[in-house]
Amino acid sequence: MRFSVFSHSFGYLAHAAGVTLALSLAGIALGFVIGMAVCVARLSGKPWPERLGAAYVSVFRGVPLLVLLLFIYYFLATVGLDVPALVAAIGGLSLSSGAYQAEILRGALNAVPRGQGEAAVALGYGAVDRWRRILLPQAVRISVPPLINEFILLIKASSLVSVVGIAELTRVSMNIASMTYRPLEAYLAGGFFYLVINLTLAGLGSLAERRLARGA
Amino acid sequence: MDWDVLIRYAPSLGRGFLVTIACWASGCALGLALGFAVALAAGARSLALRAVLRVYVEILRGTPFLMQLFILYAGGPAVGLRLSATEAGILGLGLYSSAYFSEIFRAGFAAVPRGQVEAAMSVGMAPWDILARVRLPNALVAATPPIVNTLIVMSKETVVLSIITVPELMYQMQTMAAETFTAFDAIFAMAVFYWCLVEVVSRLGRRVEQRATAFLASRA
Amino acid sequence: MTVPMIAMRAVGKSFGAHQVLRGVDLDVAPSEVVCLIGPSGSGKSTLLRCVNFLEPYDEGEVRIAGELIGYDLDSEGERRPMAPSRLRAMRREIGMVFQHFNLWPHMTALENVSEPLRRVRGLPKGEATDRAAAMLRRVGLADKAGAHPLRLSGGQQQRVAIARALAMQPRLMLFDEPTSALDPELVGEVLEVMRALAAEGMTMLIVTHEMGFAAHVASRIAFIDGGRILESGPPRRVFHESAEPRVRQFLQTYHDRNAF
Repeated sequence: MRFSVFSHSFGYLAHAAGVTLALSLAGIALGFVIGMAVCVARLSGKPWPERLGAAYVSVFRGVPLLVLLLFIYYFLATVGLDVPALVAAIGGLSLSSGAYQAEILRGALNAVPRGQGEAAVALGYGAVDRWRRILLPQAVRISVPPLINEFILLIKASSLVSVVGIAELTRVSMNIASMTYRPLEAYLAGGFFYLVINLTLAGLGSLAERRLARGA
Repeated sequence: MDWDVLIRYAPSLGRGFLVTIACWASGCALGLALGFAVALAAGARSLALRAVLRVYVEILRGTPFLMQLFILYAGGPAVGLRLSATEAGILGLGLYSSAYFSEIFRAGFAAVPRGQVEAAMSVGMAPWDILARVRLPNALVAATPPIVNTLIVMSKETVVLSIITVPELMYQMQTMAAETFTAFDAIFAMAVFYWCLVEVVSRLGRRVEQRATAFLASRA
Repeated sequence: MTVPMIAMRAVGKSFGAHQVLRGVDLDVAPSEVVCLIGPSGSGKSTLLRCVNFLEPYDEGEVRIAGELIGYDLDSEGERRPMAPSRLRAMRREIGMVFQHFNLWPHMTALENVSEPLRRVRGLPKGEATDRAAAMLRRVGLADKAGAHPLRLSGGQQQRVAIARALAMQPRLMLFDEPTSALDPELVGEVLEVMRALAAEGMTMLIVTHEMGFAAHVASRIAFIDGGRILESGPPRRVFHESAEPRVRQFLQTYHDRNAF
């Protein structure tokens, strides 16, 4: 074990961790928009949007992220679009995450007790107010812990965008490994950064869970 | 789609498919066994043992599978661990999934109502019998749906093994693509294949779940 | 004088700072049926659970047919936890019926009854099954032998639970609010089984809110409040002649709530 590898590569890795975080944030944010749209489609009560929403979830949860990333990469090349790898990476992450987030949001809405909506109707609430004031606030609370969990999964999944050559945490670890001929140290150091990020997020997640459990 | 190419490469793709299934099955079997052992040991009195197991689970769940594979495969030799790509892949999948399986088993044991155990104690059943006859069957029922779900997640993780050159389906597909310049076709076929695989396994899984939990259907 | 089946002396129990039992003395003679009544939170269930040591008591003694349960006394009279195997041996002789039945959901009614016979009594499968079937017949459930518990009504589940405990041929039976979780129309079938059991001479200690049942079946009533037995005696005396204000107040509230 050579510890100088850790100290020398710290700066590179910290920067790369920033890239990983930024990629994942973009993925979770765009994924949220997609997920919300898919969720609305699935709960719309209209047959075609429901079927499309279900198909979206089935396809993007069924296809492994690595396959999806390469598919986007090659697909764009085939149709002659020369987009930066970054676009393919963020596209892959958000398309995939969108499917999972759609299910999280749908689960959260289903978890709001039926009586809540019925009480609002009985009190004369319109549809907009019922959703805005009663149903969505409760669903959002329920979905916060699983969304944080999804964010952690996405940060881990983002290591796969290293295959399209983006200098995020995994790619930079690989580069350090090949430059120093010290793969064990390089990957342990990279793994350590992932661990710190994810444990921090997990801590925030359980904090949020406790807050919400108290009804705050 | 170029069917000639697919037919020409059918033998190597077939081998890749078998390697994928073999890695998945043996990796998950290892993960289930390890995960079960970890969950049982996590019920121990020793605080030190519990802390060690917690760290084990958090590290494996907190880092990407790909990183763990690199550490095992590329980093292993530095500490005298020389594994073939496939061995590293199976061991990696086993370790990674064991963290998830152990949490599932732990939650399963926690979900067994206290009264079930008290009833067994009140008739004088021994701890081993209580575990084997009351706690374990109940825990397994609670664990079946998340186990099926994790098996599906792990089936998709097997494609990551291609990155450390395990000759599984994805790897064979990429070899074919590189040799015949059919990258788009190859990756499209992969997407369809995995989508079908996951659909089939999900459906099978739901059947298993229904059978495992049939007795929980109440009268009302 | 015969040795009491249950003899409790100065039994005390605390959950943290909260003292649940404060020096309880209670004897139950062989073939006696004693009902524990009292407001919720009074400690009656805790007391019952001390009898088979599902709830470890911290002070005093509980003896089953003269034998101390839960603790061993060494030569200096110091208490040490009893060897687990001996505790299990004692529990075999004490049947228990729970408020929420606690049947094992993954086994059929028949298997619920035969399981402990095989694992604990070590009977061969055929014999255990025969005895279990006979027990189910006794509680009127011969036709439900193959059903899983969640397919049965609450009353049927509780009768299976009684059969499970009886099959072990215990020397005494503990009942922890056996009808409290049942719909009102299902209470009768369970009480009927218990009444028959009392008539056969089984020693029974019962925590219950069924005052009518207690009045007719119990040989003795013990009223508990605040972790103490405030009144104990034949049903007539406790229900109609008690001078203890807490008892009268409790019964008054009970009558008011059950009056039409």
